[in-house]
Parts: sequence; structure tokens; C-alpha cells
Amino acid sequence: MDLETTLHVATELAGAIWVTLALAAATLPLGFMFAALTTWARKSPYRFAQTVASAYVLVFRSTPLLVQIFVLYYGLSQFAWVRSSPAWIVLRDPFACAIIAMSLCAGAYTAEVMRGGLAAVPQGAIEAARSLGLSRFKTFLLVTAPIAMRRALPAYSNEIVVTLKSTSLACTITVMELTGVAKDLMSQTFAVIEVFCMVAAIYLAINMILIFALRSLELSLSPAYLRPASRMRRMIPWMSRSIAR
Amino acid sequence: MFGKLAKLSGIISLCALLVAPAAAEGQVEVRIGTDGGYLPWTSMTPEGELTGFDIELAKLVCERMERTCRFTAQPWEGQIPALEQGKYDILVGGISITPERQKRLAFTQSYGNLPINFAAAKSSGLNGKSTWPELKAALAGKTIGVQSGTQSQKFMDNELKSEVTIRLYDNQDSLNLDLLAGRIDAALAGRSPWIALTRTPQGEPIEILSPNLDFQQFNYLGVGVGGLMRKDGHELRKAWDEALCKLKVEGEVKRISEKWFGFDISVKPDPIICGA
Repeated sequence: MDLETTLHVATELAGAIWVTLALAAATLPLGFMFAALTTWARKSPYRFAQTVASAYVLVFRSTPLLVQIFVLYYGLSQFAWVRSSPAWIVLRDPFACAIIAMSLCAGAYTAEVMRGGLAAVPQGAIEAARSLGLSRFKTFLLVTAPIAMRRALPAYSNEIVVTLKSTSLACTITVMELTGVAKDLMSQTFAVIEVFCMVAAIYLAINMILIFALRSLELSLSPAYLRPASRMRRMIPWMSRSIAR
Repeated sequence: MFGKLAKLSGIISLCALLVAPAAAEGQVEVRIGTDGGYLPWTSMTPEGELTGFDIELAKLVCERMERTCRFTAQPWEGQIPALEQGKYDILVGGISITPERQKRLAFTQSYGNLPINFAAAKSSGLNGKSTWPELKAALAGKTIGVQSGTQSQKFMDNELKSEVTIRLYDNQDSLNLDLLAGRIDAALAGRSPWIALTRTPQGEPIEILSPNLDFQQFNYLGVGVGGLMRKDGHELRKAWDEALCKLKVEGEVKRISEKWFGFDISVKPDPIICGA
């Protein structure tokens, strides 16, 4: 690849980074919302809500995201009544379809992450809070949620990284994110290795930053006695001295 | 090591000896390779007979050359290597004349050319423009779909990139689905997929927009389809081209194309090959 082509490829790819980031940025909060609703429904006393939530998680975890995207995008558009309904305003747009499909899928996985986090909260802590006279809501807000969040964060950070990578599937429904632009550049330049290595490097860089940020968040949320030793020494000076002696 | 090499070269020269008489025989019998699965250019009847626009034309060419021809069906992927190995003398079947192929191989003169066309819903009111600038003005601001890596995409990039929103598709089927669903206002592709689509019941609301866009106006679009040969096949190419010149003048190419495509895809005789 000559310099001119390299520059052309680099600028095109740089423009597409924002599309990829926008997809992920829209998908993650929506997915979190779906997951929170599902978790609430699974814990609710209503049988119907429990069944719907469990079915949702089962279906979206057990089918490939690509199939979900195709069903939503090409499948629903087959029905004339869908095309004449107000939902078409959203479903007409490939970007919106990609976000809906991906956040439904991310929601199902995140619901499982939340279930794991909640299961890891010691029953004793909840009982203690209740016996102190805290209401159910306050117990959840002040005791259950913080502990569950800490426990679930490593698994959730995994989900964030996976979601960012799965945005590449949006190119199958004409959303020109990183992978889509790369495929187009490949047919223009025939520089398959160069283009896709550049794309891989961009995904790697984005995910490295994400992983580092999430790891820092995880550490800052951990109580001091749970942090790794090296970090503990740095953060608590008197302790490092006592260990040194 | 050297022993093996000597043995190998022995085998190779033996092969060459075996191939030589076959090549000599090829002077009489012309071996034609074709895909057999690319309607309407080349296809197979349920009885296993090859048929199609290219097959019918090639049979006429053979008649004019007074040579016997033997057709063999083989999937497109393997055809060029087989041609280079000398398994065939010529390949036919809607093969586009491209500069990349011309570097390694030779083409007969072009005998057919399909324009590219926009297609849109009949209700869009985009049809009936007689010139490209008129259509271009009507398309401004629309969302237009095109298959990536095709001549149509090249056309979009060259002519319309700044005026419209371009959506890129992996294949013609996805493009058709979104055109039918109304997600895109119009789509650009070769004329033959549009004919196929508009003949289906689902494709009923779609129409092909005029004008036709082809290499006469946009020289980067392909000059059409030709028979593909090795560069060493001078004699056969000359005979084939001469026969094509006659068939074109007599209107035979036009007749066959109207039979298979429903309209005339024939190309005027090449002035350099056929003379004025």
C-alpha cells in the first residue's frame, strides 16, 4: 500500500470509529435497562412476569446475534402491516434496528450477570440491614445493590467488551461502522491484510482503554482489604511500613 | 533430491507429449467451457443439455467457422485455471471484459453489453427521465442502495456520491428486500437482476428506470461480454471474431438476445476487427 492509499484508508476508518462508538454507547444503557427490567420481573411475585422474563433471556441467549439482527431488519419488513405501523419509523432505519437487536441481546446476557451478582450478596448482610430497621427499598439501595454491583462488575466489563465487538455485525444491515467501511475499502484497494490489521488494531486500542478503565473502577469500588497487595501498600502508607519492617 | 527432480521432469515432458496430440486435435474440435448455471447467458435444461444466449450464439459461430465444437459445463471458479492449463480453447457465458483479465488472457470482440439501471417503486415518480442529468437531479437527496464491489458501486462513487445517501449491500437479494420494503428510494444494479426481480410477483411494484447507463456514456463501465481465450490462441480468435462480425451484421446476435433477454443487448461490430 502506498502512502496515499494508507492515508485514505486511515481517514475513512477514523470516521467510522464514531459510528462504532455510537452503536456501543447507545446499546449498553439500553441493554442495562432491559436487564434491570428482566431482573425485576424475575424477582417479582407475578408468575406471568417471571415467565416472560425467563423466556426472553432464554431466547436471546440461545440464538446468534446475527440471526436476531436479520429477523428484526429483513424479517419484520416483510409484513405490510409492520411497514404501515408507526413502528416503521424506527424499524426503517438500519442504525436503529442494529441498536434494538444488540441491546435486546446484551440485555439478556446482562440479566444473567445481574442474577449472578445478586446471588453473591451474603444473606447475612441483608438480614442485618433489615434488623437495623431499614426498609426493603433502603436495604436494596444501601446494601444489596452496592455489594452485587461490585461482584458483577468483572462479568459486566466482559459484556461491555463483547458488545463493542459485536457492533461489527451491524455492517450486515448497511450500517457503515468500522468493519463495514473496512469491507468497502478492501474492495476498493484489494489490500486485505493491511486494511483488516488496521481495523483489528483500532478495536484493540478501544478495548484496551475500556478494559483499563473498568479495571480501575473495579479497584476503586473494592474495599481496601480486598485490593491486591501491591496496590494496598501504595494506598495505605502506614501498612507498607509495617510490612517493610 | 536430484533423482526425484529428474523423474518429475520426465513425467512433465511425458505429459507434454500426451497433451500435444490433443492440442493438435483442438484445431479441428473447439473445446468450449461454460458455467451452465448463469441464466440467461448459459444454463442447463432439465435433460442436461446446455442452453442459453451464449450457447446458442457459440453454436452459430461454430457453424460459420465450419468447426465442430464440444461444450463442457464447469463451475465458473475453476474455468480460468482450466483454460490456462489448456483444457479448453475458449470460455463463454456472460464473461465481462475487464482490464485485469485482459492482462493475462485475451478476449474476442464484445458481442453483448447490458447497461446498469436504477430501479425504484412505480409510485416513486422517478421513471420517464430521458437523460442522465435529468434522472440525477431527480435522485438528489434520496437514499440509494447498491451492491459493494460492483460496477454499479463504481458508478455511484463517481457520479452521485455527494448528492445522495449510499447504502452498501453484500448481495443482490438483500438489496432487493430493502428496495421492496421501501427502506431505500432507489437501487442501482445490472439490468439483468432487475429483469429477474420485476418478473416475480413480489417485484411487481418495482420498475426499471430509464435511461440505460453504459460504457458509451461512462467509459469506466465495462465494454460488455466476450469469449475468453489464452493469448496463444490467435487463429481461433481470428476465426471466432470474423464469424461474430458476420453474425452481428446479419442481425443474428440481436435476434438471439431478444429471445433470451427480451431486448437487444448486441454490440456493434468492432471497427478494428471487422473493418469499416
